[in-house]
Formats: sequence, structure tokens, C-alpha cells
Amino acid sequence: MSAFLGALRYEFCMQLRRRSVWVSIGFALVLLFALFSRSGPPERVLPPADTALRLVGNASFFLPVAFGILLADRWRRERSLGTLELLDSLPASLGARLWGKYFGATIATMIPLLLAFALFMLYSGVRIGDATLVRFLPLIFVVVIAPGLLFVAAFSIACTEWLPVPLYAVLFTGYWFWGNLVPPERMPTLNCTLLTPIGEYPAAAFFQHTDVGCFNGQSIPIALGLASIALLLATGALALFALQAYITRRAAAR
Amino acid sequence: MTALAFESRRLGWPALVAPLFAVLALCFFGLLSQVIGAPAQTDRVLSAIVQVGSMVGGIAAVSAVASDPAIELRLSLPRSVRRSVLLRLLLALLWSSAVIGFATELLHELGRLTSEIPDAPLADQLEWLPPLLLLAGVGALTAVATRAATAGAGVVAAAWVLSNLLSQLWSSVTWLTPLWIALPFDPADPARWYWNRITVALVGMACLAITAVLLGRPEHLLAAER
Repeated sequence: MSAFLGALRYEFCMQLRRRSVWVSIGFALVLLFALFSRSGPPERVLPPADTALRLVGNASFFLPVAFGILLADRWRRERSLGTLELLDSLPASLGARLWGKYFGATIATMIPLLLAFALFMLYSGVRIGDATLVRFLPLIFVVVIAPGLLFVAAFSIACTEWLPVPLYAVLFTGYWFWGNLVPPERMPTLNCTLLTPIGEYPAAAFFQHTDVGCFNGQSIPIALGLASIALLLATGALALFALQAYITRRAAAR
Repeated sequence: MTALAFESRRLGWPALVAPLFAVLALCFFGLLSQVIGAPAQTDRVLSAIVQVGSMVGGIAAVSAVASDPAIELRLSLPRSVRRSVLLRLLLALLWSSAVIGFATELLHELGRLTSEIPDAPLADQLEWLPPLLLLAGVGALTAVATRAATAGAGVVAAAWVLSNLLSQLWSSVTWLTPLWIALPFDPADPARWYWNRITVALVGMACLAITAVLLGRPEHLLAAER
């Protein structure tokens, strides 16, 4: 347990101090501010929670893309620095290091992302005359955004064991566009399924947010929202367990 | 010639495979649309190569200028690091452009390109080439200025996704529209589109020029993020 906490703390501090984390998310936020600088008030009056979800939805279409790429080089780092063998020789188990890295780097990258969401909501809230909309953010972040981020983070760490980071970045960006933004009637896609990491199911189930194309204005049962969260978390965990099993087997074969 | 062969090896296979992979992925989805009974979508899916190509080129450029694990050794050699990295960058951009350009021309010849620009034979190439230059320039500049390759890749990916979304907002912000890489061609006002392409390409080249200047500062190159 102490090895896990040690790895988590180390990865958390390292990721939080990385220039790239702040630069990428800062750039995306500036672009978002610029784009929304001319937008007017919403066409129809929505309840405050719905308005908050709509604002979060605008930002969550693309902010997690930078999030996924920023985590993609974490697992490869030891190999590229040549410290993998050194870490393998320590008493800390592979599982403790892997899961510590996952949670530490993921939580650290969530901090600037959460800050970006908060600043965008404050900015948009002031523009539409309700600066207090940001009060909904903690709950929306935990229920709607975080499960998708944990899912994305798990695959960013696991896939780069086999794929080089630039190739993963291309594939991940393509996947994000295809799996979250392409309407199902245009081509076969994961969009509007329980595995959509953008959080459409939890938003519709827990907040009755029907301003999404997938449900034609209908609300959905809470069970479906829970199922989407559970499926995203379980699939992410499965990817990490697969990576752990693969590395353990490879080490045993050596 | 030796330098060219060496830098192409240093570039690595991911940068060479990525554009091919993007084309193959779109062919796969195009085929899938055909099979599931949505043939009207097939051309739209295949034509997405003009959008996807710029992002692939941008990330390939970031990969080309990414920090070198043996940078201290490279800096001690008579051949300048700037020259080596720029050669690698040029190879990455030429290869991506060749693949995307060929795919676009093939779609044009087959009559499957959904967004053809009328009355100009090679104008279709302007749909992806200026955006590729801009994303490559911005990505390479970010990666070199911050000495963090992931920052460059993150910026390219976020800018690309955002450009292909929120089209109403892009066209409403007057000062941002000239830099909107996904500006659709309007037959009623072709000059606007051509000016956009020129601006996008020039800004991309300016970013690449600044990158080249930054690559000539050895003390800056040593401070890479890992």
C-alpha cells in the first residue's frame, strides 16, 4: 500500500509541474474564450442546471482530447529514460507502480482541466447573466465528466505499451471525433452508446438534461446513467489489468 | 544523401505509418457505411481525408521536432541540430503531404470528393495543405518553445477538434475567421475562402520559421521536459 501511495504522490507532483499540461489546456481554454466572446444569450430560457450542463458540454467536446494525449507518454517514460530495470529491481510491485502512476497522473491532469471548466463557466455565466452557474460544476464534474476521463486515461496509459506516442495521438484524436461527435446516422460509431465518454447518458439520467441529440428530448432512467458510468470505469480498469497481466507475463518469460 | 537516410530513420516508422493509417481507417469506415446500407455517407466519410490529413501532418511535425534523448551528444557534433531537425521536419511534412495529396487527387478523379472546388483543377489540395502547414507550424512551435512534445500534440489535437466543431461560433468571431482551418468553400464568395487559405498557410509558415530560429539556441534545447 505504501508503494502505491508513494508512486501516486510522485506521479501526481511530477504531472502537476509539467509545462505541457498547463500549456495545452491553457491554449484550448484561450481558443474557447475567443470563440465564445461573440456568442449571445441562449435562444430559450433553460433551468440553471441545464444551462450549466450545456456550457460544460461545449467545453467537454474537446478539452479531454488534450487530457488523453498528456497522459499518453507517462507509461513509456521509464522505458525512454532507461530507468525501467532500476524500478523493476525495487521491492515495489509492478501493480503498485502502475496503479499509482495511473491515479497520480490522472488526478493531477484533472486539476488544470477542472480549473479550465470553472473559468469557462464563470466567463460564460457572467456573459449570460448568472455567474453562480459554476456552483453546479463539482457535481457535474464527478458524475458526468470524471468517468469518461478515467476511461480515457486508462487507455492512454495502456495503449502506449504497444503503440508509439505520436501514432497513439493520431488514433486517439480520430477516435474522439468518431466516438463522441459523429452522429450515429452518418456512420457506425460509439457515439450515443453507453460507452460514450463525453457523459451523455449520466447527464440525461441524473440531471434530466435532454439537450443532446441522442435521446430526442426524452429523459432516460437513472439505471442507464449508472450503467454507463459502471461500463466506462470497468472498461478502463480492464485495459489496465490487461496491461498489468501482459507486463507480468513478459517479465516472467525473461 | 546519407543525412537524408539517417534523418528518415531517426524520424521513425510511426510518422511514416500515421498518414497511411488515417487513409486506411477512413476507407474502412467508408466500406462499413456501404455495407450497412448508408452508401450516401460513404463519400462523406472518404472525403474526411482532407480534414484528418492536416491533423496527421501536425502531429507528425511535432514528432519530428520532439526532444532527442541524445541531445547533448548531438550538440557536440559539427553538424548543427537545427539543420538535422529541420530536415526531419521537412521529411515528415513531405511524406504526409504526398499521402494526403495522392488520396485527395484519387477521390477527385473518381468523383467521390464531396467538397470539390469548382473551376480550378488543383484547388482541392488547398483544402488540406494550408491547414496542415498551420497545425504543423503551431504544433512544432509549441513543442520547441516549451520543449515538451506532448504540449505540441495536445495543442494540435485540441485546435483540430475545435476547428471542426462549433462552425457558427468560428464564423461569428471576425478576427478568428481568417485562421479557421475548416472554413467551407462558398461558391457565392470564393475570394473569402482563397484569402483564408493564404492567411492560414502564411501563419503556418511563420510559425515554422520561428521554430527554426528557436532550434538554433542550444541552451534552450537542453531544457527538455521528460
